[in-house]
Order: sequence, then structure tokens, then C-alpha cells
Amino acid sequence: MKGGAIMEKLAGILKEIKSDVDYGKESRLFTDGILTSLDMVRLVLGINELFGIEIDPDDIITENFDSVPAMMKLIERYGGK
Amino acid sequence: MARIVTDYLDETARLYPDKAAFIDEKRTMTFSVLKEESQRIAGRIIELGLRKKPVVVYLNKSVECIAAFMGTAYSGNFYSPIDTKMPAERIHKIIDRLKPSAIITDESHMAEAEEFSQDAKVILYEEAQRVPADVGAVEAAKMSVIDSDVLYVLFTSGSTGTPKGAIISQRGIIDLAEWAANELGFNHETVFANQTPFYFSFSVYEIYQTLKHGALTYIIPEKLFVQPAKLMRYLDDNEINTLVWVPSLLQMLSQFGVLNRPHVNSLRNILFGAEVFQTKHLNRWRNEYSGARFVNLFGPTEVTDTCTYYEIKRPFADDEMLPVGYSCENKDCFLLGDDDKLITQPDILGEICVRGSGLSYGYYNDPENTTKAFVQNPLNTSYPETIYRTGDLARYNEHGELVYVCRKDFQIKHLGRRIELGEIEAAVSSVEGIEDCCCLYDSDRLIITLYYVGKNDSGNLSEALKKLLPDYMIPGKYIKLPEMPHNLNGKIDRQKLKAMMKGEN
Repeated sequence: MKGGAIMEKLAGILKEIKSDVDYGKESRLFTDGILTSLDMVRLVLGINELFGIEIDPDDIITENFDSVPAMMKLIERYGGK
Repeated sequence: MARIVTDYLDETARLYPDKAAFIDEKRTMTFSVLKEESQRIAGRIIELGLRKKPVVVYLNKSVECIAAFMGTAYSGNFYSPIDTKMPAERIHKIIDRLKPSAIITDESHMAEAEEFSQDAKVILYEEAQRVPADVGAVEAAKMSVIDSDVLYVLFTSGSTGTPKGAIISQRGIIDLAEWAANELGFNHETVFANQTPFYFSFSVYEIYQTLKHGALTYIIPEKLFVQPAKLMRYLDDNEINTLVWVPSLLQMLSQFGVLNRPHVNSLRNILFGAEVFQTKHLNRWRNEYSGARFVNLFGPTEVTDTCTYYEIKRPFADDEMLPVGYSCENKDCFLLGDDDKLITQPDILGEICVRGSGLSYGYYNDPENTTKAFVQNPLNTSYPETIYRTGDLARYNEHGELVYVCRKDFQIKHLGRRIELGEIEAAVSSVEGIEDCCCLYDSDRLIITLYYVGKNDSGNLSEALKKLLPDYMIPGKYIKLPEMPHNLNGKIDRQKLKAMMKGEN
């Protein structure tokens, strides 16, 4: 699976969650409270559904979701496509 | 029996001086230290010659907030917590209304506090702790306090764009605390994990039950709210037995499937309120924690947080609504129809109205909003008797339980916070380039949707709103329209917009 395709799908989910965030720039999305606990629910459920994976709750930590590259790495680790 | 809230702390500091009272990420505060630090704060306030005056507490959520609250109470004044993350614009509106005499803050927030302080004296927490309290002066100030004196003012969302400050008395909190202790069975072994911010009414459970019984409250570190498995481990590690949480967080843990990761063996009481708990998720909690008590608490800030409660005992289908139940002891909740007649029959819609010594005195420096909501009981024509009209519509079900239906106006609940869509609209309208706007709440997807007409794009609009509104009030979705639909009266056609919103889903 190519990074570009993952990126595109992920960008779609993120835009749906909060349209006004510059996701390319942010590296502390959850740590700084730009996204909230409710956004985390929608994000994880969205990723699981769109990539056909099931992220383990132990992986739902800020380090894996604070930036777009971190999320892509996580999705790739789960073999998301 | 306690008369004022500082009686609670005096008693528990005597009974359990070295027991932990409040624990946050940085510090554990015992009851004796809490009393000591509270009295030092009180000493500083008394030196300023203040009595029955508003004191703002502007601190990050921490154990020191509790000492600042109690210090204010000891001094014979009343506190009003302001969130340190609140946009400056909204803080200014609150300060203009409250006109505080003092602001308690710390070194890291001093510059901001001085900026909005106006005539208020800024008290630095660290500095106040350097001087031992004049215990005689604090005792004398405390003795002058009576139970009808104001304890705190909490600001809630207001539709004209200005927050409303609900005034709560000492008596209101004692009334709630005594009922809650008896009915919900709190005691000195209760261990709370506090979730709600202290500027949010629901937190009075942890604060005052801890002070009353010598219980223990852990203040959950903010970062755990987005890390479900870590949050569950935190509850387990600290042997938490009682949660008083908003349903959205309980639902989140259920959605992530972590209710048993790990199973928190110590958990006994799961209390929730301030918004609707989706029954599907409640049922998952009940399955996993079958030995625990589940209680739905209902009420606005203006009745000292809670006016009805419902303990969930019977099974509920996933699509069934939970009742809000019955009046708390010493509060009387009743339904009034459009004609102000009392409703007693099932399935007739009426407005929930409340009587009792827990009622707020009204909104601070705001006679206009006060007289709208706090009115003479229309059922009593013989003597003055104030009731609070909640603006919540409800009905009785076939069991005689009260069931919440909806808001009378356009107020919504989002993430457990009460928001008047009008306040968001007022902020949006104030942004340069906006011609018209309307806010709707998409309750299926829990998103505030903004429809607007103007030159702005969603990026610069949301940037502008961040300076005006707290985070939880910022719309999640922006839809630019070439023209706003209006109905025949010239009002914005909300029904048409709602249909559009449904169509998009």
C-alpha cells in the first residue's frame, strides 16, 4: 500500500472531524488539546472502518495520534489499506 | 450538623489531619494542609477588608483551586472559578458582569490576570502561602458567615452573548451534600476520580463530599481523556470506587471497548448527568460492572446542580430513554403546562420547575435574566415563593417517573456543557465580513454546525471564533450559503436548515 493513498484517506477523515485545522503543521494535536476526546473516538472509528483494521486500545495514545506522520505509521503497522 | 461549608473542612481536618484529600499530577494535599493553605488565602482576603464580595479563582485545575475556594469561603466572600484556557474576550465579559474585588492566581498566570483585573486586587497563591494566617481573624470572619450567604457564582452560557452567573448559597451546597451523602451512600472510604472542570457545576460532588466525609478525590490528568486504556489503568491503580462523570466520557470508553481493560474491581458507584447517556453504552457498562450502582443525576447549575435523580435498576432496551426520575430530598420538581397549570398525568409535556432552598438567588448583576427565570410560583397566590423555570420540557411516564424531552428554547448540551446556540451566533455575527448566520446542533453526530453568509472562509472564521468562544463552543462544521433561508415572519428558517443538515448525513 502506497503512503499517498493512506494520506489521502486519512486527510478525508481528519477534515470531516475538524475542518479548520492545518494538519500538515500540527505535531501535538491531542497533547495541546487541538483535538478532544470526542474527536479521538471519531478518528479511531473512522480509521478502523476506512482502512479495515482494528486498532488496539493500547495503541490509542497521544504519541500515535499527535501528527499525521504518526497516524500514518500506525495505520501502516496495522497493514491498513 | 454543618451550617456552612467550612464546618465540613474544620471537622475533617480535625478527624483526618494526615489523610489525603485531593491529589493531582503534581501534589497530594492532606486535610490539614488544605485547611492551613485555605486559611492563609483567607488571611490575605481579610487583609484587603473584603466581605460578601466576588473573588475570581484563576488557576489551572489543581489541588490549589480547592484551597482557593475554601479560603474565599473562610473569609466570608464568594468564589467564581474562571478557566485559564478561556478566550480573553469571554473573560472580559464575565469580569464586566461580576466586577470581582480580588483575583486569586499564581505566578504563571499573573500577567494575564493583571490584564483583565480592572479594579480587583491580584492575590498570588505562592505569596499568600509564605505568611502564616492570623487564625483569630479567620475565625472571626468565619463566624460572621450565615448559611444564606453566597458561596459561589458559576457562569453558564447566555443567549444574548453574555454568560450568566448563577448565584449559589452556602445553604444550597449543604442541602445537596446532605441529600447526596444519604441517598448515594458516600463516606470517608469514597475515592473519586474527578473529571469535570471546577467551573462546571457537576464538580461540587467531588469537592464537597470529599470535604464532608474526609473522602479522597483524584483529579484526573487531562491527557488521559484521549488515552482510554491508560485512563482505565489509572482508575484501577488508584482503586477508584466512584465516578461522577459526563456520559460522553463513559460512552467513549465503551466505544473503545476498554471497559474490561482492565476491569476496575474497586468500582462501586457510577453517577452521571449533564447530558443524555446513550442507553446502548450504559448497558455495556452495566454488563461489565453488574455489581455497581448506576445513577442518573439531573439538574441545571441554578438548582445547585441536581434536582432529580434516577437509580437504574430495571433493564432498559438500547433504544429506550432513561428517566430523570424523582425529586431529590428537600427539592420539589414539578411540571407546569403552557397555561401554568400543574401537570400530574402521564405523557403530557410541561416545563420542569423547581422549588427549594437549593435554588440560586438568580444571575449576578443581571436583573433582566433573573426575573425571566426566577418567578413567583404561579400555583401560590398567598405569599412570596420563588420557583426556577428550567426551560427543560419533560413528561411523566407510566411509572410516574419524570422523563426529559427537550429544551424549550435553542439551548443544547454538547460534551456535557450547556450552550445557547444564540451565544455562538452572536459571536459569529461579530466577525468582520459575516452577513448572516445560524447555528444548529447535529445531535446524531454531536457536531455544532454553522450556516453562514459572508465573505469569510471557514479557516479565518474559526480562527476569529477561537478568540471569542471557549473550545467546546467552536462549531465543528462550517457551511457557507449564498443566501440564508427565511420563513414568512422574516426569521431564519431553522426547519429548512435542519432538513439540509439531515440531507448531508
